[in-house]
Amino acid sequence: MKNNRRKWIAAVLLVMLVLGLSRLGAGPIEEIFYIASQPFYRFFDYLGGKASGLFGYFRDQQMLIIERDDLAREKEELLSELARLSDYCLEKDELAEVLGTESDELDWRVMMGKITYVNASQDWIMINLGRRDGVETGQPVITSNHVLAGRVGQVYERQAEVKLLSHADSLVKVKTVDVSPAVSFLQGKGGLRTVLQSADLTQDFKVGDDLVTDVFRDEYPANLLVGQIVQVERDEVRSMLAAQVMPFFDWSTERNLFILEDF
Amino acid sequence: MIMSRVFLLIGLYFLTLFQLGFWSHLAIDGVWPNLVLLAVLLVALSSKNKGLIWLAALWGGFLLDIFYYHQIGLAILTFIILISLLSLSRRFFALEGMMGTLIYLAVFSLAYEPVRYIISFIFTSSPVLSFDLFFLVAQTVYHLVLVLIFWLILPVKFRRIFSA
Repeated sequence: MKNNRRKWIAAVLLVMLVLGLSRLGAGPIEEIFYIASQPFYRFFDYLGGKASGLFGYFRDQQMLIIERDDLAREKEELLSELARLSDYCLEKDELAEVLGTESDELDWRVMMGKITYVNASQDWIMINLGRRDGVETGQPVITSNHVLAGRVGQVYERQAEVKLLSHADSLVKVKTVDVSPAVSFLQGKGGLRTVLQSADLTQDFKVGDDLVTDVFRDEYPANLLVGQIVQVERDEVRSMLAAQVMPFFDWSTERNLFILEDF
Repeated sequence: MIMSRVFLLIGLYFLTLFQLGFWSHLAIDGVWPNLVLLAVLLVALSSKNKGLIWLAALWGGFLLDIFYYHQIGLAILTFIILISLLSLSRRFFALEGMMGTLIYLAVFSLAYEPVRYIISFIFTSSPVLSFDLFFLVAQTVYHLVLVLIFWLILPVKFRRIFSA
């Protein structure tokens, strides 16, 4: 009984001592232990570093094997991707052949000009490039997105007139974007209207078809974006097809235009 | 009797330094064994000398406090509670032999960090929860594997230290 009481007193004193020490902090005691243990600690640290290097060798080897397997798998995936891309490339070449375009980079020579004036009622705009810049009548004018705006009309010393596609003088050979494209001429009707006309009723022009330029007397390069068909009418009696086309070129959103000097 | 206590004090001291200096390099996926905890639990399981068991708990806890937690009392009180619980549990569930040792080691290795976390409320008002379940389980497995390895490589006459 007495023995038990002593044990309890010792336990309580011990807990109080521990709590007391915790409040005082471990600073000085910790320092003494650290200084005294430095040589042993360094020795174990050195041994640990060596052992780690030894285990690291095996671990790295294992990692290399895993990495090799990953790379092999990745290579297979890339090869399969490459095969698929080759197919795409062939298809693209075939399509380019059909559309009459080169798959090589374009090497056009262009001049950049700014729109200075718009005459919407007469379907022309003015740009700040003129005779002194080498501008000539008939040169195609496009936007940065290869959208055909029109052709150069009257050229002045410091500026030039660009006749829009809707200008009454404008006539552009166009085709649909298709493997077997329908081809015809787009006529400017004035008042910002453009009409595609064809004497062949069987030609497959539909609402929503996108039109691009087709090569005709080297007036334009092929595949410049022209517009979209918004309405198609077929006159069986006169055997005439007429389609209203909304040009892609929007002068209200464009600031810069490019005159194609050489294409 | 005195010699075994001196041996225990020196052994635990070097074991702490070994854990700190050597084994910190051999962490597997950020998990390292708590050799001092392992040693204290093994002493508590294998020894019948209560004085030696409590000495191991106090000294082991003190060393961990000094070298690991930099806060005297945290590990000491954790060890006191763990050893008390171990003694208590052995009164009701007397598991013996190597299997008993492994079961006790697994249970009390898992209990160490949660108990230390609870104790840390005494020392700080906002203790940081610095353990996760993966770490606890991985460390316990690490402990069991180490004990099994030592049990296999040590001569038979030393194997009794692994028997509950």
